[in-house]
Amino acid sequence: MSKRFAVLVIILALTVASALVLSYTEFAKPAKELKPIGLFYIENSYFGNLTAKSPEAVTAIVWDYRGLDTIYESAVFFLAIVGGLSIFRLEPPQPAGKEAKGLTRISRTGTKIIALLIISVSASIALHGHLTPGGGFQGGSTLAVAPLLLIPVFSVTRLVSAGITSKRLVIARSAAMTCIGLTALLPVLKGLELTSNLSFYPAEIGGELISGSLFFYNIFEYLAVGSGFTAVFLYLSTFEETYRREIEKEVGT
Amino acid sequence: MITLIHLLLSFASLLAIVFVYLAITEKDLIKAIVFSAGQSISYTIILQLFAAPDVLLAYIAVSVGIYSALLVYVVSKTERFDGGGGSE
Repeated sequence: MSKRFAVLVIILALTVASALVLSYTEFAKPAKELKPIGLFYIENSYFGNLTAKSPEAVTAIVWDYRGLDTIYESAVFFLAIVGGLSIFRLEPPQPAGKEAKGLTRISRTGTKIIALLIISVSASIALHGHLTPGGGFQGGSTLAVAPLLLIPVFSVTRLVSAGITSKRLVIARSAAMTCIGLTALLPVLKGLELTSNLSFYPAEIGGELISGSLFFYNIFEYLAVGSGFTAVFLYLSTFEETYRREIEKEVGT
Repeated sequence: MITLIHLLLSFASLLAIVFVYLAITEKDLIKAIVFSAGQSISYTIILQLFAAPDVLLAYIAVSVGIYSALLVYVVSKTERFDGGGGSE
């Protein structure tokens, strides 16, 4: 035990020493002025001629200026979840018959409140993604934390009997990904470029700033990421006997 | 000139190193996951100080929530303690 902490102290001392050496020799000086490309985004993301009408420059870069990159990135994420799901059998391994009780009443009530808070916070992160820091992926991965809490506290059986089945989640995710693709494709029908933003979508609806396609991308990405992660967690928390039964059925022993 | 931001930055970075070291050397895998989550939290402090809240929001949900939970699932399928403790 003491050897463990001695090594830790040595590592910390080395880190501090190297940081001091680096800063006193001015080997790694921080940049003092803004790079021209950064200045371009700051000047143009809300004002300027090449505007995305979004005060949140990062979302404007992610879904507008570099929109095509993000579309392909979402496709990669889609394929990653598809790969994850295909490891498990997609035949509905519903835990039938086995009754799981979940935890005590105190933790169940507390989890209900916290899950509600998580869902509303994640919705605000995603839906305000074009106004404040955040966005579809951030909101979606925050949303996925709620079922992660609910599964151990209420047990999978309760969630599945409440209608949150992995099949429905996979369908919801595929629908949301299709909507992302459609949002990117729709401007093409009017003769514009792929993933065009303000030349096709309106910047405001009813006086509310939605920054063109950014709002739609954020909503659909939110649903896709949230339901995708939740589906994976549902599969992960399925009882092991169910899988064993499935495998035995196929092997035929 | 050293400001409060620099002090907090160095504190969070050193804290992250401590957590990483503890996570690597820990034999109890559940405890190691908790240390890893602690490392993620100190990284979120750094991201906040660097004024990168967009990265922070994605990072904290994935690294503290989803990643830790995935690892807990994985550990629950194997043994909890690392290294031959004669548990075979």
